[in-house]
Amino acid sequence: MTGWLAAAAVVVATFLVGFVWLPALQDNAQGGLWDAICRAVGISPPAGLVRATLAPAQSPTGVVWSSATLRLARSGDAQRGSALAAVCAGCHGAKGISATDAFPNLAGTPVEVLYKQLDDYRSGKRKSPIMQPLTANLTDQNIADLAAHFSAFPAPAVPSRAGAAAPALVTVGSPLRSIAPCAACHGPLGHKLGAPPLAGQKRAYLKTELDAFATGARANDINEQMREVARALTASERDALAGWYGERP
Amino acid sequence: MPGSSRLVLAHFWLAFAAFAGSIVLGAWQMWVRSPLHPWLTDAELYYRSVTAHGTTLAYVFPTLIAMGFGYAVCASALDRPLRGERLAWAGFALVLAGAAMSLLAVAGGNSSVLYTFYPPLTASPFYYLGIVLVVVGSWFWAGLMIYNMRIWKREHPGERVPLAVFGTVANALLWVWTSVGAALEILFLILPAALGWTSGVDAGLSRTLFSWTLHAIVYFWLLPAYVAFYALVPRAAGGRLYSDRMARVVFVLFLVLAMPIGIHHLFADPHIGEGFKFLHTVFTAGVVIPTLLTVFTLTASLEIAGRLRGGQGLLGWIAALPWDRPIVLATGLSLVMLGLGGAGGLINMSYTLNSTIHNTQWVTGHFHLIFGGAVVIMYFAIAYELWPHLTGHPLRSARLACWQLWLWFVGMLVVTLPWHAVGLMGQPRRMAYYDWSDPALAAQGHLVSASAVGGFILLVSAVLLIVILLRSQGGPRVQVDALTYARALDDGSPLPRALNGLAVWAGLMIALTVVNYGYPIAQSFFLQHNKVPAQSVLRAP
Repeated sequence: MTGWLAAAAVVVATFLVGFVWLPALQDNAQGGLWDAICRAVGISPPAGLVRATLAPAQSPTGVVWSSATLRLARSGDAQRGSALAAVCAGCHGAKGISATDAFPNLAGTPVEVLYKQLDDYRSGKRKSPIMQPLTANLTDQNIADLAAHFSAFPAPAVPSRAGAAAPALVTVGSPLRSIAPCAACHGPLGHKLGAPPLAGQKRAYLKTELDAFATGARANDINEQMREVARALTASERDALAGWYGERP
Repeated sequence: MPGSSRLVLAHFWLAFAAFAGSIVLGAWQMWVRSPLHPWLTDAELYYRSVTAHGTTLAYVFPTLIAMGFGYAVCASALDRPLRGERLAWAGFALVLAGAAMSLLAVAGGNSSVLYTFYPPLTASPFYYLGIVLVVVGSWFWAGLMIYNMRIWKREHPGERVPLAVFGTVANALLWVWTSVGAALEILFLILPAALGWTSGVDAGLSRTLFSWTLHAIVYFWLLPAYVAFYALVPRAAGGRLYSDRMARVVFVLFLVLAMPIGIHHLFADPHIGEGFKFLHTVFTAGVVIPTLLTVFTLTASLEIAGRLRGGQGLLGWIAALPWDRPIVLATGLSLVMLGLGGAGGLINMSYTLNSTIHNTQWVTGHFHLIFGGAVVIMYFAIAYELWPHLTGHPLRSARLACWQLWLWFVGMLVVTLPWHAVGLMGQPRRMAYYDWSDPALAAQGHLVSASAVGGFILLVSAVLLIVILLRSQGGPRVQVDALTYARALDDGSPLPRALNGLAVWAGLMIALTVVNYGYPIAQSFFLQHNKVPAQSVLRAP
């Protein structure tokens, strides 16, 4: 019996120390004892909730990868999208393979990628004198439908690389310079939401965008990860990477 | 032993076959991420290998050993054939099918999420379904252990349940309850996302549920070794168990304390209130009690044996012990590793000290030393001890077996001590490669190379194990005595009723789980911050 009482006393003492005494002693304690107890349990008082402090103009994108966003981005109808896509075909090709080097291929790009870029053009987070007016009047559903339309076409053929080993920057990055490997987000090592596949993309387009990330002219990457990487790369490295991934003439 | 030999052998052979394959992968992993090998250009290969290594050695290998040893204990200690052997074979078939399904999914490259799952990563559904099958198969075993003890007690009223059976059933109860956490996580959170039915995973709740399983599973792996410590080692050393009652207290304390402590794996997780982290720290500290009781009882039992064999003086009894018997040697080596690993464990479980080593290679070193070292070396010893009784052939060359155990011990220290050191230097774990040209990492390079050598020592030891078991089974057949268990000094004295059954203790285990996990789990139903998009690791999404 004594043993049980002793064990119960230890448990009660633990609760008092862990949920009352230690929380009350904390430097960052706001409010009274009751607030401290709530924090220890895991209930934050509403004022204590951490909120994003960035002003809207500074946030790099309006897209948040919540379940609701994903549901919307994946809800597109390719049929409806094809009706809207007539205006796109002039630059990006009727089947998402563009005729000129300056405009990117869209065929086979994951819907999440297309959804985010279109949303970013519409909100002005990604600057383009051509794309901003074209997207200004699109609804969320229009954007999802367009994404579904271009995503459904077969992706461009991957350039032939017979015998060539991928550059180290692609496969292992450069840890000393805090550069993550391209393949970790853009595939095939890993696939991150919103990161487009790169193989077979237009070489000139890739170079332009990498340079734009490096200068900050393009700044719609959610956590600044592309700007970080592009800034750390030399101009010739950016050129070589665009060449490795890009469509060969 | 009465019947069941084929059943037990099937479990042990499948376990050791899976084990040997995983050790090859382990050695390869250590080599490729050390400075001895150029960087892997496809890091996914590394994670694929780690996933196969962890899945096999955490879910398949120890589960099969616990099952096989449990059946052997049940048949031999109760001295009658196992009841429900057909169900036992069905459980074995499920484990085999599940392991094959999971490992094929991993081999295909679509399941490189590591064995701890790491949601919101999602893998091929077959990977998770395979693990569910393994767990369900092991539940057949747990049910049979509980059932066999119950009917034996009913037919032998007033008699004491043999200690080995008591410990095994305690482990079965612990396993059934502890596996519920990961089962819920897989069935309700990860699988729906992997199948595409939901787009998001509540990462916080997943981690909480996994921690429910994650720490107690370690004691599920450990308890077969403890059954061997208490029930086999004192007899093999030529002495008596110091106290049967103390042994039972240890088993029930593990049953009660293994569960309500898992949140010490979540010290860095923001969704758990700091009060619960403190609570779990205190309960984790409680595990010190059964651990030190075991160190005391085991040492006392060995001292009895040493003195019976003519050992004199304060420490002379140690030298008098029969160190040429594999299970005695394994026990000595296991205690050294348990001591070192236990000391490291005290740092892991301390809320504040943990931040120094959280997610570093130290943690990998810790669990390899405790499980791969202290526990697995006892699995080898159990196999050596059981082999003649299972096969009817004597163990060929106890000398070679002792070599094998020594190699495992040395290899494990060479692997894990450098890992502890580089962990303190800040080396993160779960990395496919490190930039050894970075001057900041240069000091760690030599240690990592040394530990890779340890990996190959372990590989040699694993090959030796298989050779010894195979050679023994192919040897001449002899008359083998029945497997017997250690007698205790207090066998004649009365046993409190509470120490001859486990119902009260299982009830306490569930009650403490509710107290310590109730709110952290319940909060996810009204706090919705934790849901994040699922990230598939399928190679071609």
